[in-house]
Amino acid sequence: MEILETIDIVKKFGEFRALNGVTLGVEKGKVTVLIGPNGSGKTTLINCLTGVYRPDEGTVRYKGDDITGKAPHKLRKIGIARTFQIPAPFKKLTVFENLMVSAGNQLGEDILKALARRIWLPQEEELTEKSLALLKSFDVEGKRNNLAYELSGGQLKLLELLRLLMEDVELCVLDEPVGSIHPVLANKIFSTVKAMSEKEGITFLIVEHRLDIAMRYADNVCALVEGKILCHGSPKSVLENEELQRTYLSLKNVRK
Amino acid sequence: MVNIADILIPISTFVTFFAVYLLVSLALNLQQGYTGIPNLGLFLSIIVGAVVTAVLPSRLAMVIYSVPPELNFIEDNAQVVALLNVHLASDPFTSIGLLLLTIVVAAGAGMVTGYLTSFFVRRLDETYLAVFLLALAEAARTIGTYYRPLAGGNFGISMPNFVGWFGADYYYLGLFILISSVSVLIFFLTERLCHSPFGRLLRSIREDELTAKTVGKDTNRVKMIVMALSSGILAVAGVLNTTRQAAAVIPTYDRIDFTFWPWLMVIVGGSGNNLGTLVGTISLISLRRVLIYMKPSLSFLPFSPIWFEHILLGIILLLVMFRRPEGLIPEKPRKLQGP
Amino acid sequence: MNTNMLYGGFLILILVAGIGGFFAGQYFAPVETVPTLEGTIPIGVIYAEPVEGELYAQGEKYALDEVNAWLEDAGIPVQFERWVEQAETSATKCVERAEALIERGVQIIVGMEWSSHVKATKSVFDNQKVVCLSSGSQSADMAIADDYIFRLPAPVPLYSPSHLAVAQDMGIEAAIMIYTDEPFGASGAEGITEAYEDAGIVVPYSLGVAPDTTDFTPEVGAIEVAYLDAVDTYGVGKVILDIIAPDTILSDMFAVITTYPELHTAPTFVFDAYATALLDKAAETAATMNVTGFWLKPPDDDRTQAYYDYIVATYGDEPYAFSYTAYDSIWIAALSVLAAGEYDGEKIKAVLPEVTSHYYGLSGWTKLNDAGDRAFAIFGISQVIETSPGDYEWEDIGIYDASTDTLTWTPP
Repeated sequence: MEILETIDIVKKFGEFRALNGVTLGVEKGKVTVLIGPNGSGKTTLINCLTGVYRPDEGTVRYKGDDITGKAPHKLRKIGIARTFQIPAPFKKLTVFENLMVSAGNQLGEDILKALARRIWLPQEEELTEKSLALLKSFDVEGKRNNLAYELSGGQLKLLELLRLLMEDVELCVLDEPVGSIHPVLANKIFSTVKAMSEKEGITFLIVEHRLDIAMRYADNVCALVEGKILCHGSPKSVLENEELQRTYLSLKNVRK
Repeated sequence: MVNIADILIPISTFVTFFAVYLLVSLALNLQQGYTGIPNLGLFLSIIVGAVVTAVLPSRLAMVIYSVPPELNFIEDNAQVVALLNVHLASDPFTSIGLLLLTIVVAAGAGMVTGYLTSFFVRRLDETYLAVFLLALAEAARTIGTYYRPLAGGNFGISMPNFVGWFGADYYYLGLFILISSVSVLIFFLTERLCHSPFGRLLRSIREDELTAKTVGKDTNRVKMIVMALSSGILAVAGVLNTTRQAAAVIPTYDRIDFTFWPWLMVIVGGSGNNLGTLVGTISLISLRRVLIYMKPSLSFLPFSPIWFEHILLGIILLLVMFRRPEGLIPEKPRKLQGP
Repeated sequence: MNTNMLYGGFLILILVAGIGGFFAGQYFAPVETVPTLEGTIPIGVIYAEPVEGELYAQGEKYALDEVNAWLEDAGIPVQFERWVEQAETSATKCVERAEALIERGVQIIVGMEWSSHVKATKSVFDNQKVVCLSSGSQSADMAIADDYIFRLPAPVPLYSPSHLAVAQDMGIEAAIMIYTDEPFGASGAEGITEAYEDAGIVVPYSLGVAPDTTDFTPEVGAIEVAYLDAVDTYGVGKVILDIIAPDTILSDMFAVITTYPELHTAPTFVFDAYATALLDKAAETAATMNVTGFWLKPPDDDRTQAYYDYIVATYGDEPYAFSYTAYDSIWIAALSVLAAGEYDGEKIKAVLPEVTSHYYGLSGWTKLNDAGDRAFAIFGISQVIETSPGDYEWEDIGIYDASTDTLTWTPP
C-alpha cells in the first residue's frame, strides 16, 4: 500500500525544469531511499512533497488525499515530518529545548493558557521525560543543555531526527541524514530508522548519497536523474540498472 | 523640614518616564528579541494609543459632566480642560473608570493595528519589513501632525487631569501609582509568557522560521499574535505617556525617541530576555539624567556639553557592540537541572 | 571568569551611577532653592531645535552680559547663568529636560520656542510650580489664564488687525487667502479672514495647501483663476493675495508664481517679513508684486542699534527676528527673580506680569494679557524692494501700532 503518491510533478525555476514529471509511490511502513546525481532534483522533490515549494504541475497525495502545496505546519499535523540536508536547528536553543519545541499540540503554546502554569505544566513534564528518554537512547543525554550551535555535524543530524520523534509521525522525509558523518553514528541512525519502520510502521523517504550505508537498510530504492524517475524497485534491481551505472554509480564505487 | 513633594516629584518623574519606556522596549523585545520581527515603526501603535487618549476619555467626560455642546474639545481646548478638571478633581470613580476604559480601548485598538500590520509581516522579508513598518508609522505621524480634529495637529491638545483627585500636592504620587502599576503588571505578564512554552516557540521562530514550520508550528499565526500583543502594549505606553504629559502631541512620537532609543535600550541591555531589556532601559534613562545633572561641571569640554550625552552614548554603544555584542545581560540558555 | 567579573562590574557601575547619581544629583545639585538671593542663580533654557536655538542664544547671551554687569555695578551679590538644554525637536525630550532642570533647582525656564513643546510640558510647569517664559510660541490655543506659562511673542490673533489696517489703507476690496493646512496656518488665516469680513472686505476664495507640498503648479493655477475672477468684479489693485505660510513654502510657491504673469498685478501680504528664502528664489517677482510682510518690530532707538551692531559684528549676520524676544526673556526672568526676592517659581509667577507691564524691551512694551500672552505689539511693515539694479532687500515701509490701532507710513 502506498502512503504517499506523486503524479506528474513539475517544478520549474525560470526556464529550468528541476522536476520534469515525477510519478512516485512511497510504500507504507518501508524505508525508501531516493538516490541520484547532484542536481537531479532530489531535494526539490522532497521540498515539493513537504510543502516548502508548491509544484507547478502535478498532484501529491497522502493516504489518498490531495495535499499539493499545503503549508509545512499543516502537513506536520497530519503526520508528515522532514529534516534538512544542512541541519537547521534552533541554534540558540538548547538541545533539550530543540526537542521540546518540536512536540505538537502543546497547551502552553496558546497565548492565554501560557499565562497559567498549572494548565501546561503536566504536559510539559510528560514531554520532558519523553525527550530525556530519547536523548538517553542515543547516549547524548550529556549534551542536553548545550546550545544547538555547539554541536558537531553528526550530532546535529541526530538532533534533526530526534526532533521528528517528539511527535506522532507517519511519514518521515529525511534529507541526507548521514551525509558526512562518522560511520558508527551513521549506522546507528540508520538502524534506528529501520527499527522504527519495522516496529512502529513509520514510513521513511530518505535522500542519501552514502549508498554503502543506506543500501543495507533500504527496502526500496528510487533513482532520480535529470528531474525524472529512472528506475524504482528493490536495492538490488536498481543498482543493476545500466543507465544508472553509467551516469551515477560509477562515480560512487559501491559494493553490490 | 523635608517637604514630601521634594522627594516624591523627582522619584515620580524618573520612575514614570522609565515605566513608559519599559513598555516600549518590552514590546520591541517581544517582536525583535524573541520572535525576530525587525520593527522600526514602533511609534505607529504608540500613536494609536495617544490618539485614543486624545479622542475618547475627554469626549466621554464632556458628556458625563454635560459640558455645553457648543464647546469643541479641540477648538476650545483650554476652556474645556479647565471645566473638566474641576469636575474630575472631585470624582475619583469617573476618573479611574475613564482611564481604565481608555487603557482597554487603546490596547484593543493597538491590537487591531498590530493584527493588520501582521499581514505584511508574513509577506515581507526582514529588511523590507523594517523599512515598510517605518514608513507606515511615519505616515501615521504625518496624519496626526497635520490633521487637526484627531489630536490638535502639530500643536497637540491638552488633556484633562485624571489623577487630579489625589489633590495638587499628591498629583505626582497619583501618576507614580497609576503608571508604574500598569507597567509592572505588564512586565510580569510578559515575563511569565516568555518563560512558558509560548516563549520557547517564539525563540524557535526567531532562530529558524522554516524549521519551526516543519515541526508543525503555524508561524504566521504566532507572528500575528505577537504583533497584536506587542502593539497592544505599545498603545498602552502611548496612553501612559499622554497621561504623564497631560497633553497629546502626536509629532513627539517620532522615530528617534520612540523607535531608535528603545532599540538602543534593547541592544545595550541584551535582547531575548526581559531582564536585559529592563536593565538596558534603566541604564540609558538614568545615564541621560545623570548627564543632564553633570552638564554645569562639564564646561571644560572643547565643545558644548549639550552634545556630550550623544557622544557618550555612541561610545557606550560601540563598547557594547565590540566587547559584549549580546548586551549587558545576554540571553541565557535555559538549562534543565537534574541528573 | 575574570572578564565576566569585569562586565559585571561595568554593569553594576552603570546601575549605581544611574540610580545613585540620580539621588546624589538631588543632594549635590549645584544650586538648591535659596531662601535669600545670593550667588549664582540659574535660568533654565530649553531650545526646541538646535540651529534655531543658536539664534535665540545670541539675544540671550547679550542680555545676560548686560544683566550681570548691571548687578555687579550695583553691588548686588547675585549673578545669573544660563543652563541650556536641547529638546532636539521632540516634545517628549522637552518634558524630560524640563524635569531634569527642575530637579537641579531651576525655577524659571526660557526658550521653549515651539507651541507643541509648551503644551506637552505645561503640566510639569503647573504641577511643579515653575515658570515658563516662551520666546517663540505663538499658537492661539495656549491662551490660558492663571497658569505658569507666559509667552512674549505676538500671538497669532494679534496679527489680524495689522493685515486689516494695511489692506484698508490700500483700499482693498477682496482678499484671496492662502495658508498651510495645519493649525498654525489655518488659525492664522481664520483670524485674518474674520477681521477682513467684519470690515467689509470680501474673501471670495480660500486655499489650504498641504504643508509638505514642494510643487505648487496646480495650486497657483487655481489661485490665478480665482484672482482673475475677483479682478473682473473689483478691478486691478483692489484684490490682494494673503499668504499665511512659512518661508520655505512661500518661496516654493513664488517660484511658480514667477511663471504666471497674470498674477503679478496682485499686491501680496505674507505672514512674516524678512523671509530670506523668498529673496533667494523669487526676489524679482516679490518686488513686482509689492510683497508686504509683518514683524514684531523693535523700537527704533540707540539700544536696538547697539544690539544690532553687536550681533552683526560678532556673528556676521543680522539678528534673528525672534532673538529680540529672547533678549527680553532673560531681562524679564532676572528682574522677576529679583522682584520676587526669592528663587521660587510660585513667587516669580506672582510678580512676573507686573514686571512685564513695566518693561520696555527690544520687542517693545511687553505687557501681557490675562492669559499671560503678549497684549500689544508694534508691527513693522516691510516690502521687498529693488535697492540697486538686480539687488533686492526687505525694506521697512511703515509701522502698525496694535495698542492704538494706528498705521504710520515711513516717508520714503
